[in-house]
Amino acid sequence: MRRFIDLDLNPDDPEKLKPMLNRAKKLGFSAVGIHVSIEGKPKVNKLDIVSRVDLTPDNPKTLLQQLRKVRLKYEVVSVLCKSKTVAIQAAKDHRVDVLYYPHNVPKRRSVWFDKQQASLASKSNCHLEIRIRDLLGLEPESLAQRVNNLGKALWNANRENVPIIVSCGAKSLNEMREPRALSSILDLVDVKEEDSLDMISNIPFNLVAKNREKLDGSFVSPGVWRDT
Amino acid sequence: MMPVRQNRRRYLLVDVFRGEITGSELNQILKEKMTQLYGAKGLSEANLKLIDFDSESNAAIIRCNHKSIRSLRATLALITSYNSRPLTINVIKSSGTIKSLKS
Repeated sequence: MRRFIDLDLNPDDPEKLKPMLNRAKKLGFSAVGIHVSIEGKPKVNKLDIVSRVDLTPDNPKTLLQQLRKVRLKYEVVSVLCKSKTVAIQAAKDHRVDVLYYPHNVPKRRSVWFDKQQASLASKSNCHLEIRIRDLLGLEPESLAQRVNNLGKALWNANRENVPIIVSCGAKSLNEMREPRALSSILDLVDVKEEDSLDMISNIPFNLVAKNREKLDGSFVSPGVWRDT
Repeated sequence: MMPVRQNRRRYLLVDVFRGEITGSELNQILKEKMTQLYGAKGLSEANLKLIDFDSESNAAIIRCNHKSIRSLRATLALITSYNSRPLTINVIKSSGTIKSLKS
């Protein structure tokens, strides 16, 4: 039986976190990613909590500084690509796990997951994140535009074999959706059911497992562990 | 050889979360949203029907063609409000018969 993970729950009010975690469990998720450090992870019955951080650097230099600080404190490191230079640096860096392209950036036309970004991300094993929240509550025209952009980004990711992660990105209970609803939304861009289910189960679980292994303490480099 | 039904159906048990709506309103939202996303052709292929709506438990049963189940799930997921009031619809269970949904 498949296990599902929503790698991004980001409540706008800390008091909403507990009800959101309970709802995630009720909706059928077995793991959830929230914005806390490894030490600050809350314990919830039968729900695996993954610690993640979203970096929003203004330039590549800040990105490198932030990565140095956070890499060992969080299980998943995501970068919000607000500018082309940050996006290029993030896609090249092996310490970045997830790339996210927000829709509300000023130069949206130049900052998106194009062929070059996909090629760089593929070499450094970065994942592309799709947040379903970006598609909610839109007028038909805006929705059509976003679905179009999403289709192009997915096409580039598939071409370069960049793994894709689908998350909710919910800030409140109303924005939370069950796993199969998240996967079904990708029907709008003709992603097959099995592939879209992998994007909320196998792919993010493999990423988390790999990073937990690295943060274990005995990890030296891929295939090499310190004997403790 | 056993004859196979061409138009197989799927029934979805849904939970209307934080929404105060009636059955006919739910039916209207569903059809509007589905037409918006998949057009009249998609709506006709889906063969949607609201079978049952319980306003006390806010649960409903929706019928669709088995080939359109993903489209219906996507439609339900993209519904966020009705008459400027927040509305979320989550699928609890899907089945080929109403009997197994109710059990």
